[in-house]
Amino acid sequence: MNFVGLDLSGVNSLACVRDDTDAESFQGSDHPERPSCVLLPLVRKERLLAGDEALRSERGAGLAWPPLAMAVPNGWNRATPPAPSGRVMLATVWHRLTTGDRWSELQWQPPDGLPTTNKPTPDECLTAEVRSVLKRAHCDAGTAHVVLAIPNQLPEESQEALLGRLPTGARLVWRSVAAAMSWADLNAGHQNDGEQLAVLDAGLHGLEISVFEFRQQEMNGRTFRVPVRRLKRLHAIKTDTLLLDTPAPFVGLRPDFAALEPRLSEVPNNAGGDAEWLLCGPLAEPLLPLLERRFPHFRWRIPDPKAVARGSCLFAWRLARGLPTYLDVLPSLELFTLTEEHEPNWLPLIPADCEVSGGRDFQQVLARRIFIEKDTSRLASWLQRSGETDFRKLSTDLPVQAAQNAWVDLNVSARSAGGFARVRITPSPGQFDVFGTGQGAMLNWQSMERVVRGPKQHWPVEVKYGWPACGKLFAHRKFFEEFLQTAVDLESILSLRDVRQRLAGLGLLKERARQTIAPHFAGVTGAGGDAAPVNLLVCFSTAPCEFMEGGYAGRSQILKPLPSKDERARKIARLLWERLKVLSADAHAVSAEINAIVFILGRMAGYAPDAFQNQLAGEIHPVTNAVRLFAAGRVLQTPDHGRRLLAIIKEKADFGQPLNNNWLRMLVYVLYQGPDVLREVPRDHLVAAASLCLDVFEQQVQQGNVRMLFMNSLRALALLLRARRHDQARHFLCFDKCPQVEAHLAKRLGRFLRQASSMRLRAGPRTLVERVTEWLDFVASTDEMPPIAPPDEDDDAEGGNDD
Amino acid sequence: MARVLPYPWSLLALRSDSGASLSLEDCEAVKPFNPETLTFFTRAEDEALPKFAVHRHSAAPLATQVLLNPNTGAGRRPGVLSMPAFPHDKTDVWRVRFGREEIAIPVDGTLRRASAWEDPADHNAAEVCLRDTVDFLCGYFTEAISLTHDREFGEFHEFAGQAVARLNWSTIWKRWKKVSTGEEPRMARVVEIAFAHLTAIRNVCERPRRMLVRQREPVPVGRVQELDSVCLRDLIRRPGRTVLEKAGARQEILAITRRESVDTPENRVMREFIRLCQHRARAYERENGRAREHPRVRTVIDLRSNCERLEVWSPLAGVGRLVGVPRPNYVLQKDRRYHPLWLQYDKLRREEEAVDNIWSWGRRLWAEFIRGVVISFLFSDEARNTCGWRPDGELAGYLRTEHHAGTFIPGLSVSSRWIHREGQARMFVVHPAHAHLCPGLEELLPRLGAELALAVYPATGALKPEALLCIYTTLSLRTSTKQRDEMAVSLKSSLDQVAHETPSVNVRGLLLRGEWMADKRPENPRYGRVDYLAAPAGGPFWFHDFPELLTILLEELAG
Repeated sequence: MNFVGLDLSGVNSLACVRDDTDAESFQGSDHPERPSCVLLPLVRKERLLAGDEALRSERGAGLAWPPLAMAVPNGWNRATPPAPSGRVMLATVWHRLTTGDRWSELQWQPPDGLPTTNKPTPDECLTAEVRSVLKRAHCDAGTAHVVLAIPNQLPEESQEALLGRLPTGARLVWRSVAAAMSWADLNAGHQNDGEQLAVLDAGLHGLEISVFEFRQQEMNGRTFRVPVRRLKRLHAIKTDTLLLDTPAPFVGLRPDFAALEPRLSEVPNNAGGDAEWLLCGPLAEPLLPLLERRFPHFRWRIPDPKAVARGSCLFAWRLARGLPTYLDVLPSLELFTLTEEHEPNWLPLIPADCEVSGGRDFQQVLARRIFIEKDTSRLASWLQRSGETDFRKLSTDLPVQAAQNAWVDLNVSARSAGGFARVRITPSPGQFDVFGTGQGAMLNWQSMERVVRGPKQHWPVEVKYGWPACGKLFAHRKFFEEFLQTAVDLESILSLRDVRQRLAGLGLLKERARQTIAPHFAGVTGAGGDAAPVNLLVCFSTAPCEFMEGGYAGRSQILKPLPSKDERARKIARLLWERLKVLSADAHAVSAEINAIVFILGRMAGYAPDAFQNQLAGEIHPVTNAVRLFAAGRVLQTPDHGRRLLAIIKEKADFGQPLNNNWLRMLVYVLYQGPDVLREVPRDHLVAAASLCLDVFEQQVQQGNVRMLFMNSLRALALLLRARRHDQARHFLCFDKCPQVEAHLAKRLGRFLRQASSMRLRAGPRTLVERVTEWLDFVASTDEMPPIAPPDEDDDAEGGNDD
Repeated sequence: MARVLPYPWSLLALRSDSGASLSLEDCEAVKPFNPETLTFFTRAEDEALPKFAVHRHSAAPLATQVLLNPNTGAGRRPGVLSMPAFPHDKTDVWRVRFGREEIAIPVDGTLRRASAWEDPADHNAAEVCLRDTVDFLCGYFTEAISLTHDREFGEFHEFAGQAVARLNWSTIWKRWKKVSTGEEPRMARVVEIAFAHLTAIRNVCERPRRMLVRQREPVPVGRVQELDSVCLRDLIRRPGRTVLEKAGARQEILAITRRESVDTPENRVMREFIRLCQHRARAYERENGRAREHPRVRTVIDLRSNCERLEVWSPLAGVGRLVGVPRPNYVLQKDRRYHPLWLQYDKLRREEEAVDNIWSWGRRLWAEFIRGVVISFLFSDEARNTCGWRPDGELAGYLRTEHHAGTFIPGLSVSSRWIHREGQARMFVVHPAHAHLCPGLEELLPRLGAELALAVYPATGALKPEALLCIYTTLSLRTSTKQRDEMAVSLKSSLDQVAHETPSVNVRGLLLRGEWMADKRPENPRYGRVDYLAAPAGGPFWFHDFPELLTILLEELAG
């Protein structure tokens, strides 16, 4: 059995053959000085000539006679040089493959009025060269393990096209990896740990620089140093053809680096002078003196013209024996899906930073991740890949039209330099066989088209929203740090014997926790330079809290506090909670002190211990004081909290108690910050809550009073629509699909929304009214919730009992 | 300004010379031109190719990119030499349109296009023979293309049915030589019909499909079976009160009867088919008069005699003539007896049409034949033994399956590089389409209007031509001996002038005239540096004597 590594770089197509006895031999071209080329057929049914046969042919070779043997006098430094006689340089074929395109013209016009014929595709041209080189090396394409070295820039489409045409079982390997493997194999005993190797592949259309680290892997008692390829450590300098403009290059190689020289400064960007520099590729030798002049302090090795072919052969040999080859990070791939809640989502098919062994498959099964609706016959899929700006759109015809709804699993399989990821769709266990009994479907990459992505476009399709999105409350660094500063002596405050002194200390802390600031005062701006559409900067809400601050580029950025400060905040919350527990157990405890601690813990939101959250959820009842309600708004977030809270609201509704502003505000905060807080809430509780909110809204609209109650009742109604995401409340408040009671409620809400929109409203309330109207009808183009707590509304929650 | 040239090479002649080019106004007043050689010169960028006023064909470019145009005041202007497609009718004036301008060019010695149905007689012998000649020349290319179907040549098989076939010139030479000598008459459509369909023809002609035809005629009252409205009207008009009174003394009234008839559309097609077979068979006999004993020819003769007999004595003799181009009815498409014959008829008819079409391009077809003969001979085994030149590089024989304004061979299958056996010289064979690219002759050669040029260069060093052989061709019409002499003299004087202007080049000319008279003896007079050869077009002369002469000329060129 033979292992063949092929280096078809564009000059001297080289095969490295390794036989069963591990003896290596190299088979190059008979005309190593001539750029490799293919000859397009002049008439239909004529053969595509490649390899030495093409080099021997005089067609287009630049002879004086006959005209068929002539070549165009100039234009050989263009990206696509002229080919009037059908002689196409292999470098041009690679260039087309690398750009992922077919020929700009699918047909070509042979000379002397011969009929126009179809051009063989670039992958056909390259495959013809492969077969020709294999034939020259006396290798049977059917039995040999063939590995072809490809450039880093070769896109998946071209990899797929090549793998489809190459002899069965042929593999691809990155050229730079092959060179690195060969180097590591030859220098096995001379490497230092942590040493980097920069491979500079000098092709006829530019340079590819790949920086490798090495990792030790042991197998069968042997230690292998395998190169690790990282996408971030790859760099390409693309140019036109690096050949003299004239004369035609078919007699000999005449490189011209004029187009490359101005860009050579990019070479050291990826790896510094510490790395070992290895040159490979067809122009390695003529380029070396230039590089040595430009970068004299770099360690340049004498180019080894056989490195790539040898490395490719080594890859084939190791792969067949199950030995380590190289490590690679696959480009991430995400599939656009709608979640169970019908929310758009990018589902990672191949996660970012997914490291795989070269030649081995990455596989994962994603269970119940796509929902196929009844009567679907064509599955449209959108994908996004790291490193690409456009979306990829695929259309896969299902074998049969889906007779029922079904969840399906995704079986993902991908390989480094292995073309497209194979994504097999199969019905999830227990689901209807939408593809026929025991059948599945593969994502059809043949149908792939690239869809241009807009500058701010996140989703590939226009998504209609029927509820607002959740959000976060951002902290303000200055206030956060002031709070921490004030709380430095919290322990001593809490240990004071005099309750008045303790209250004074806690009061100081309350003042620090109470501070808020509007985004535009905090210098937070959006991409367009306007004020960022974030909610009011209230003091820390999540744990660890997040700060939104103005960045250097004028855009806002989200930052986190230092771990030490984060830990201090947690400690403060713990101390307060401990104190609260003591006070709760003390019958003589002063309620003011308890309220103060609850107030501060409420403001600390995400930092509040879980036990405090649970205790607070249990303490909410139809008559609860404002402090606890305010704190509840900040700290309740689990589905269980939501269920208990909405049960209390239902109780209030049963007793005919309206919701005041404290309740409404608490409800808004809970629903806004807890994405799944409504998951377990029964539908009738939701209806009761919506009804109470609507009562308030109706009253405010009829009074023409557009103030806090108006806004909070409307926000609460908007956020209650989030219940539509969950099974028990699908189509909640949808006119045509919900129960009659709800339909009546929805119509009422619609009526008052129309009435509200006819009122004279400020920009904020108007936006909210418009959005809620659209969400209610499921036609909103955004799910962005306007700020929930403008400064004038986020008033203090100190006060007596509710109601 | 467009020019009319008496001869293709007249661009090189002086204005005062008899062979000079003429402006469009001048040419109406001069003596009649020789239609075999009349050529036009137009400027490439702003003048349309000339066109016959009553002819759908335009002229065909002879040599594209004539870069120099010394006859225009503007000096170096790109131009095109073109030859006219012959008009189908015999006329003494050719009305040619140059864009919007129409001029009458007097010509003498034209021939009309004969129909495929004509047999040679005293009054049309020349026309029929010319048509046979065109058919014969066309047959050479068809024969070459048939190599793609030949089991003996598997390497050509994949080009069967393609618009362009890639063949081998030495194989083509062998096949053509066999055809020309009668050693193996060509495999024409009529031969295939004679071998495969004669029985079917007899079957159909002797037992044709019949149909019952309704007709009205006086019928004895007792035998009346059917009346229609016309019969009833006739009955009403007759005098008498009862039918018996109206039937009169003969007791007959007008009634409908049915009779059997073979005059059906499919039988008309069959009768046309056997008539066409007779004509094609006679033409094939004429073409292969020297090989009458060959099985193919004998079978074709048998087909012809059978068709003649069937046309007169079979039931089809009474069938009417076919009018217009037939479209197959259900019987012709589905009947198992008629359908194969319909297919053959359709192919035969199309071939006739093809000959009708290519007839206009007879001059180019003859030139194409000569190019094919020269290049295939040079690649042949004979040339390897007798000729001192061997190919330097490979040359594929691409052939079109259908002519393109009379041409079958693309230029790239002709232009080639040769090297002398003793290594003292190189030779470039130049197709006229590539004349402007020939090294050292870029300006001169396009204006020479040669159908083929062979330029000899030193074996090494710069590409400066040492010798040049220009091959000119004419296909005979009905021109006088005087006109032919003038033609040769004109060529001689033109080439003398070229030789005078370029003393370093040994200029030779070869004027090849294809005769339509099959029994005409070859002529080979010499006019100074011009060798004149006239022989029956497509005959064995071109595969035996001509190569010998060519070999001698090539040796002389090599010095």
